[in-house]
Amino acid sequence: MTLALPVRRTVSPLWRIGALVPVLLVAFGLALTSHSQFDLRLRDVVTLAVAFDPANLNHQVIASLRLPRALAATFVGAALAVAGLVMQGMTRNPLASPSVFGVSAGAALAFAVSATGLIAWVAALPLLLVTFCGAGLAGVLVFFLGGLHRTPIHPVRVILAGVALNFLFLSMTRGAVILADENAYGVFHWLTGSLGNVTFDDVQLVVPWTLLGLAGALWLSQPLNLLRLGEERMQNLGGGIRQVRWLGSLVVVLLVAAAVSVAGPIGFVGLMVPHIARALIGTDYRLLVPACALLGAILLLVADTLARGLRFPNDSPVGILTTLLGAGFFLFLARRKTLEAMG
Amino acid sequence: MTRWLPTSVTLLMVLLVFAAWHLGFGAVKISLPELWQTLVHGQSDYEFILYGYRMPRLFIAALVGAALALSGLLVQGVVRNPLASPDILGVTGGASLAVVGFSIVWTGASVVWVPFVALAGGFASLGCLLWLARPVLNQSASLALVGVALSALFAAAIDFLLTLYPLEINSSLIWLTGSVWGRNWSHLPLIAPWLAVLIPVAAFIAYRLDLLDLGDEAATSLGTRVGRLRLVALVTAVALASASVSVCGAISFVGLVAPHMARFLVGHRHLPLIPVCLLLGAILMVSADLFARILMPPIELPAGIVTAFIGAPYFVFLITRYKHW
Repeated sequence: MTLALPVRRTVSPLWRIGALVPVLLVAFGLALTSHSQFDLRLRDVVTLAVAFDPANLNHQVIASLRLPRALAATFVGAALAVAGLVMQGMTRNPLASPSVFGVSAGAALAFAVSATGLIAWVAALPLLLVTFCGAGLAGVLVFFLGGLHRTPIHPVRVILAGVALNFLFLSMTRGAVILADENAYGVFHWLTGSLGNVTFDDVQLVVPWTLLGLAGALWLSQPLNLLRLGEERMQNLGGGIRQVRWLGSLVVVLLVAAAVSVAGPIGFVGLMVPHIARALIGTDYRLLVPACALLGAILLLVADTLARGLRFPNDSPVGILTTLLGAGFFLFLARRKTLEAMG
Repeated sequence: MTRWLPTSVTLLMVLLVFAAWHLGFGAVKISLPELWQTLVHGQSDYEFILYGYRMPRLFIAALVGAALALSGLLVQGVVRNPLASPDILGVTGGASLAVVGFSIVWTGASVVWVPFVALAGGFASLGCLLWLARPVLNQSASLALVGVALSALFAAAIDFLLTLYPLEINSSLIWLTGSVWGRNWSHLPLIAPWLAVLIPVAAFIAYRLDLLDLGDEAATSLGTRVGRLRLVALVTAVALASASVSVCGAISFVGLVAPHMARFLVGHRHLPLIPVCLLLGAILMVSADLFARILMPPIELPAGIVTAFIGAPYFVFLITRYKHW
């Protein structure tokens, strides 16, 4: 008698991740060409990739203006999405994300204080260090005020504490910007997050740190898989909970700091993408980390392209689009979460 | 409990001190004797500054603070939820979104319509909240979570609209954070009549709200129509919050903090709570506007930012102390 093996008809998750790569390339190409004062075509991108022609105006525009912006969108999106994934994994809370817990708002506040020169010695420090400290400080505050150090963790309490701190940092950023810059138009730019003024210097800042953070997230993926079983069972299986918490927090703060230093607090990417990725891939963190990185990059590239088209000859910050989308998503998740708590 | 009278008198003195400071401080400093001379003996040196600029601003700030505080008191009484307030439940956010949308769609509309638009927005957002959270209405933290998410959505929509259709920056700041900047006598009719009508309503239902504290069943058996009472109190609260939004935008956290402070001072009966709450709201708002101006003159911050400095830490304190998870 032979045992009939079940035939797997579903597409393997690895192939689904692979399928995201061409989508990313198309989104990247669109981000390079669409909504321009010049008549840019995908053909220009292809010829540019083959041979750069300095005399070709379209080549110049794409290489010097569009390319840094698209690269920054790719890496910022990936960083925010993976940061959200690691936060959700560590807290086992589907609503956790850098923008809901106030971590990006903390980084943005540090960024604003540094860039407006309100406190002189802060402005002298390197930007990434400042945003890193801001994000870290916000993370520590949420951790203790939200009661993450106690067991059992109450999920709604953490979120309410995070939202309140987020609001506080937001107000402080507004105050700092108004005090430093009397005409106050900067307020919008600082609080929504934009990729409009990105240069190659910014790209050089964000790429290495994002790659480092992604590597850390990949290294964490197996412990996060164990943590999904619960803290006690994880310790029974030999996982070090404390180690995961420390390293995970470090990865999150690093990724958020890198993203905010370049693009400001782009909202809710870290909340939305992990949920989409789970729907596509499942719950294995080893696959979720690369999937989230790809999906985050795609989301931000598409959102930036759409935002550019909102008021076409003028540029609009990408943050307003992701925040509007993400706040609706947050409402949906919050409602589902409270209904689940009801049982 | 008869502590409310001495408490109210003390609070009134505090309010007067802040009011005098508020009137005296500015680009032109007016000393206390000069203030007295101008107000009582009609000396004309500072008359224009005082009556034209600082006095209306002071009155508006005090009335808005009082309205928000009373609104918070009523909401907390009805849903028996220490974390509730018009701004956390998204009512002020919905009202300001409605006003922003209105002023973009219908530019140059008369300011008379603004309170009604705000009211419509406030009621719509309350309806949304009650519909979305209908299974968890008796769970404080869950209701607050849905309300917070709703506020986030409204705030995002306001950001979106203001970026696409830029208004003048100071009016944008009013709708983003709430500010008493540039308010003058013409704004007073937008809020004063509402308070004049709604404070007596609140006083009228105060006794029944005390009964509601005993629980729905006890209140019913004592002769209260619970459903109708809830409706009246919520409508009053939303109307107060929307009226304050129509004057100076969504001021955060006053409606949360003032009722808590009032309960700490005079206990839990609603009738004595009302005057204490009104005074505390006015003090909070006047002092917030004052500190917003004296922090780094001549630049002034929106008052809503200063109330957030006080209110957001207080909210975090409340949830760390809250026991009924």
